[in-house]
Amino acid sequence: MNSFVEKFKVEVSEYFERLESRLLQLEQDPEDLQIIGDIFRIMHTMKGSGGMFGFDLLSDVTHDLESLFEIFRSKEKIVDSEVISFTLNSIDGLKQLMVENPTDENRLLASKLKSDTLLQITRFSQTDLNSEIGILPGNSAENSIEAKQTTYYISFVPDENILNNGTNPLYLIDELNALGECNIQVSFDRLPPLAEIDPLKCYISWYLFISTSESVDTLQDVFIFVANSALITIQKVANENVIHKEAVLAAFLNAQINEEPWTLLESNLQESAESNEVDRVEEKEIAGVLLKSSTEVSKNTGFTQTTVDSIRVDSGKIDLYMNLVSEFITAQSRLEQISSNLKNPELELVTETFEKLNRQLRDNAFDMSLIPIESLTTRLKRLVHDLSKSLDKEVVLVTEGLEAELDKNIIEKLIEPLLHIVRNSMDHGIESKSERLLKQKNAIGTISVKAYTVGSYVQIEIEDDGNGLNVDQIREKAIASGLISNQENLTDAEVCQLIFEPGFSTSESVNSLSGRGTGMDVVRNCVQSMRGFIELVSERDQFTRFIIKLPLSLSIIDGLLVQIGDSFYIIPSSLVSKLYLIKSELLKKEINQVVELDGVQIPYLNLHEEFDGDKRVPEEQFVVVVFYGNHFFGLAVDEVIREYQAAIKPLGRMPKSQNLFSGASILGSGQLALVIDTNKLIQKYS
Amino acid sequence: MVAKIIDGLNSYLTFRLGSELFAVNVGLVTKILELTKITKVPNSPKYFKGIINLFGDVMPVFDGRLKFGFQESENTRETCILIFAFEFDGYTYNSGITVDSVEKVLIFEPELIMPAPISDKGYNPEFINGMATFNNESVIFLNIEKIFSEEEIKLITTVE
Repeated sequence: MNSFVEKFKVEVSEYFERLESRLLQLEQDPEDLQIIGDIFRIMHTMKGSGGMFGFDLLSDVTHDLESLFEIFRSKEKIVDSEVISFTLNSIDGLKQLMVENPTDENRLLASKLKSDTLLQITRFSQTDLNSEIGILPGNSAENSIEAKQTTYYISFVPDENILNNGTNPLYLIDELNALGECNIQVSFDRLPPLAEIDPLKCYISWYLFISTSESVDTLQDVFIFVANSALITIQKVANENVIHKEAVLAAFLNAQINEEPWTLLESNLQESAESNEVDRVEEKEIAGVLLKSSTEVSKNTGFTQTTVDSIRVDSGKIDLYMNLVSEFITAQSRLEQISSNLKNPELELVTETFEKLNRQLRDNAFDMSLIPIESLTTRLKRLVHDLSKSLDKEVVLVTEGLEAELDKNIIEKLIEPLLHIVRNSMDHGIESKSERLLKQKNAIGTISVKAYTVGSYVQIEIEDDGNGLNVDQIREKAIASGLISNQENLTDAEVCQLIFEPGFSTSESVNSLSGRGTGMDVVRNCVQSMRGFIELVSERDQFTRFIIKLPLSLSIIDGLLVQIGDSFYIIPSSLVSKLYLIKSELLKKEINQVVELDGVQIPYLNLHEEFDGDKRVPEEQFVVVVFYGNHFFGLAVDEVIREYQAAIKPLGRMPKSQNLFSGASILGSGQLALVIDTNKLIQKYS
Repeated sequence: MVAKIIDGLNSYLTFRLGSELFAVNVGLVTKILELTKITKVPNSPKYFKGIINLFGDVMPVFDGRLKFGFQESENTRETCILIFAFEFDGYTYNSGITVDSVEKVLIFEPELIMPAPISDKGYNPEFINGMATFNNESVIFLNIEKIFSEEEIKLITTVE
């Protein structure tokens, strides 16, 4: 029985979240009957199951709230913002009533909520009954949004030299195969006579039909890294799955050869004229691989309706699955090591297959543990909503691209920093209404949260159109508090980053929201602890923008395996900018720890000296240039072994003073390689 | 969980550091390992030896002699790594320490274990659960959780 109660509690917290999100949407569009219907249904379910599990107070109060919304559902009245604020507050109250054995205090709260609700109900039933009944849009027919299949034609003609930069075109084809049903043709047209073949070149090209429910963008994304080294065309063939209709495919290819325009095959059934219209627009978008134009601003209010078949899985199981995949990767590297020693072709073949499967397994495991950043929006919106009221500022929260996904562990840790930044923007960033009008700005402030996926990174930008940072004030303050000396010639951009330093706050007044001098450094620490980084761009009276970059996952990373002395270390690839091989004597300048690379002076740290300290300095050393905030920093190592897919293991309880390493990975040989936390390392030594 | 196993368990693993004989409840010891390759972690305090790969898990290993405030000495054939499981801040951790030699498992009834005398040799009572005598030699019962919850500890307060 208890496990049912636990499940119920989880469910109810989801209901709360959905209610909040729906209420906030309703505020934007108070006449949307569908939203009201949703709210009503959620309340109804909560009431029913609450009673079933003995949460009587919960179901009691919900019952009254339900009656309140019945008024709006029956179109008698239109929701106003007071009702929304009231209901949101009631939900906060309800959260406290989620107890099995209520105390007197709980009962008191419940009866207060009930009487308040009744007050609201009477408020609406007393007002003029003759008030117009808004003409409400008819409940649009239930869209049976099935995953609609579209067939595309893709020609992928890689550059001959594509193999040189380590791309394996087969992986791309695999990836496409995973997106939908494919009909793949391989062309050997470019294959020269045997004597002229250079084994390091790729002479093969691929032509394929794919039937998928994914968008063109998704298909284009597959080729994102080879866009410069391949000729790629993606063209729509039909708005349905025609993979098995050979005649259609042949006709399309014929049209291709004769360079005739191809008219989309319209499926004669079901498709409404309207959706055809849309498709025609899309049709014009046929083009080579063009990255999605950034002008496309989605005004998504945070709740995209997607019909996905899903099952609920305990997150512990997902964690276990991830762990097993990590183990598997470790075992895989052991296999690779053995195979490369034995040089047995059969074994090598199996090893290769294993590697491929392993990669797919890893990607799949990643996929499962990733959740969209969107899951945070309700909390952000709620914060903006509440603070707008208490600060008397009108602010809208615009989100874009929040369907980008991140590891759920990262999302959990990201909540606090994001809330903190938004709270700061609301408090210090956005000016009061009168001030904004004075500056000839829109009286309504905007906070936008955008996210993009860039390679194995997600970039999140939080921007407000408030008064920006006062660079001079920050500079003064930093000098006064001894953070910098007044001789230091920091650029404005560098000065802005000072707010991330511990104990820095420019706010004159301390209030309940922010400005206690702690905060931004906590935000930075939090982001850095996830191997990410944060920076800030600001223009006086225009905007303040925080840019956070985070890796997709914490447990498995792509790294660079390096050697220092007899030990191995891993530097996360996502932080590596460039590698240089230089003579060790160039690194011997005792005073000035700066090395000139490609004509740029880059500060560096000789890890051979710091980590190993023995005298056997190799003649040549590698300098790994990593990103450090918006600077570059060189790390000199003895040897760069190769790229390495590292499953990161926690280090356990280390001495407190030890924080240069974020974990360790077990190499194929069973040896351990420490994962360097470059941010901490550079901070410590510079 | 660890506490549950130990309840009512009167068996103690004894080991040596220098000339002293120490005992810990067997319920706390998860593994006894031969000295294996320990990967050094740069920039660490001296009493932290590094990390080892223990069947696919990473485990920190401390130098028992240095952590307890004894003189450093060479490793011998008898040197072992003891892996302990302990709880700290609600989490269970595993950590290893190197010891000079592992003796045997002995059974001590609770009434045989006396509180540590305060004067005697000046053991810091914070880290000690008690003392007993075995074969005319004193055995020191260690409080492992306390020992691992602190950084470098001074087990013997009046070490010259």
